Amino acid sequence: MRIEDYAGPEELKRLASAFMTVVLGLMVLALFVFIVVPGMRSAGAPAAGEGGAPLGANGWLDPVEVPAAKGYRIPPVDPKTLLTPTAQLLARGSELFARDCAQCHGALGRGDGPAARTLTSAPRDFTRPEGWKNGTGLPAMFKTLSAGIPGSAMAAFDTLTPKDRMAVIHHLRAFAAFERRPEDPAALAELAKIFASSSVAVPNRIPLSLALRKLEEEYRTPAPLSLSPASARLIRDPARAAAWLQASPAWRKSPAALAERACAGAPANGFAVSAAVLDAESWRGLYAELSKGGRR
Amino acid sequence: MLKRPAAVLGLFESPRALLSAIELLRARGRWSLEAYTPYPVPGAEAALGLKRSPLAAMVLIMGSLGALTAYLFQWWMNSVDYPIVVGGKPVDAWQAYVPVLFEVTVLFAAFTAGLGMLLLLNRLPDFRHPLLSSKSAAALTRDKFGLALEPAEGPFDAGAAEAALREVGAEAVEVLNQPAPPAPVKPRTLLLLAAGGALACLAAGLGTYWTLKLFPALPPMSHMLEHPKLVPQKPSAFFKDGRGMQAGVPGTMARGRLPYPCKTEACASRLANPLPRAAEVLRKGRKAFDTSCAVCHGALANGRPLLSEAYGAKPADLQSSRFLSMEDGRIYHTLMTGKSAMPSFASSLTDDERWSLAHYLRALQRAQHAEDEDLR
Repeated sequence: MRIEDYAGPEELKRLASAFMTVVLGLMVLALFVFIVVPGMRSAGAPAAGEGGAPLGANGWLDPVEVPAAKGYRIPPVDPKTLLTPTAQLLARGSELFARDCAQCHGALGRGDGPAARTLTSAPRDFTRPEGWKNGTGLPAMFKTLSAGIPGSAMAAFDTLTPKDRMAVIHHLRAFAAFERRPEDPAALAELAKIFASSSVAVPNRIPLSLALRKLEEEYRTPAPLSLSPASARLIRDPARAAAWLQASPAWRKSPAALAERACAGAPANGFAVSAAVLDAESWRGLYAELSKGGRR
Repeated sequence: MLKRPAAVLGLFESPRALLSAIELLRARGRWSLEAYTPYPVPGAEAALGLKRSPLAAMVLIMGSLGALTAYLFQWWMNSVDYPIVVGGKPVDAWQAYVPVLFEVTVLFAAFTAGLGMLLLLNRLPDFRHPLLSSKSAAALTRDKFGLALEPAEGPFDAGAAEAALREVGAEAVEVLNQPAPPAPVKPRTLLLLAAGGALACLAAGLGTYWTLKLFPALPPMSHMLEHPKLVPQKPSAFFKDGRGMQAGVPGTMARGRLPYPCKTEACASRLANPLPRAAEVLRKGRKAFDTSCAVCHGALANGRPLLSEAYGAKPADLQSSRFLSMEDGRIYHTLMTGKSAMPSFASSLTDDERWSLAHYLRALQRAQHAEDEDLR
């Protein structure tokens, strides 16, 4: 009994091709069963945020689509509760210090946080008495925290409420265990007056999509420039140049001001790069033309 | 079995003789001509009147198809079927698709070029080609230039073709016969071949397995374990400055651009935003912000991102009063030069992206500092 008795070469060939067809069909079926159908099922599943949470463009929770909220004012606080540390203040201060300060000043206030080495002026080491720019008194530290130190990496933390600022100050004063000069009563009274008189405004909040729409509506689209052929060679993109001229009204001061500003912004502002080698006479001509509104 | 002449082959001494013979014989127009040369002879294609090969178009089409396939494939998986947010970036940021897109484009194009040329256009392998059983085959791969006359239409008169070849200067002429069709393969041979193939596969597999097991990663066979790739969170060992992504050469710039003029923020505050505050610009700004900025400054730009803990950095709170009143030009300047831990984005964002970022930041700030009438 040999295989040829059952199937000749032609028959074997047909069998093989039928087998390949079945295998291919199974692979296509497997693609659908294991990949396409589950994918379509999860695509059709209810989205995560249907309980009212905002969803972004890709169907995920969108952190910028926050619900609108009306702003309010936090009334002034009694200065007496802020000028001396309390357990409550210190707890709040420790929390805020970890969130906003420890990255640079270090968890123990030694100025050795992980972000410290990237800063060009090293952050203050609170444990050392020397070199405090504004001084070590409460009013001085409040000023530093509120306004920052211009020219250094110390930012102004004016987004914190005065109460939170004082909480942070009391917390970090625990690191500064050195001998301090007695507080200046006049400055302290001044600080107390600030606390007693100023309330804090918490601004209104709207979803980003609304803010985008508002900004777009408020924008006044500039009238298109219509230029003489000579100027059209210098202004490669009139629409862009019109938007740029509207955004920097200071060019109207003089042809020199126009020249300086236009060259600094070229070619992104629609001016040709060749504007950089233009003589004063040509700038005067262009200035006169643009002053008339760029309309012939 | 009667031998059927399939073609008549003439051998020539030089390419020049070949070209002139082609010219003379083409004028008679009774045969279809085929040249066999040891190397590509310049001018032979034109002399034979061959059409331009469609291979380039095939490669272009298949390469584009490959790019499209790879893009749609990744887009569908990464942003439709199973979207995974990486580093807070949009799930359809195309930058992440580029390596695979490139590879698949090259794959499709290379296979089309190779297989299309061999299988589709030249119909190779052709084991029954009459030239393969010719006595002149060896000479044709060394120093002789062959010209075969094949029947164009109608009956083939081998004698006339021979005479014509001698007339135009062939130094040797040979009649090529169509080889007999191969004998049908016996089933037993088929089975033996299949068994032999399976054995060869097994031997190759076992051989590879044991070679890799016994001689692991010996240079130069390091199996891509050692190469100057960039390891995440580690400096590059390949470039001196340790950066994986190299910035432009200092002191150079692209054609059609001017050097950035500002060294100080005071100078930059005089720069103005050249883009209108239109929906398209804001959309561009949002995409750039989500891709390049949100990872540190947070989606709300309040300096409190998800990854702040991991980075141990203190990114600026762009909602504080200093940034609310900051001019667009100074925002642009910071993007150009960087600040403290923030790197420069001069080479990784375009001009338009930087300016549209300034517009988008205004929208983020407006959302957190809305006016009373916005609530209505």
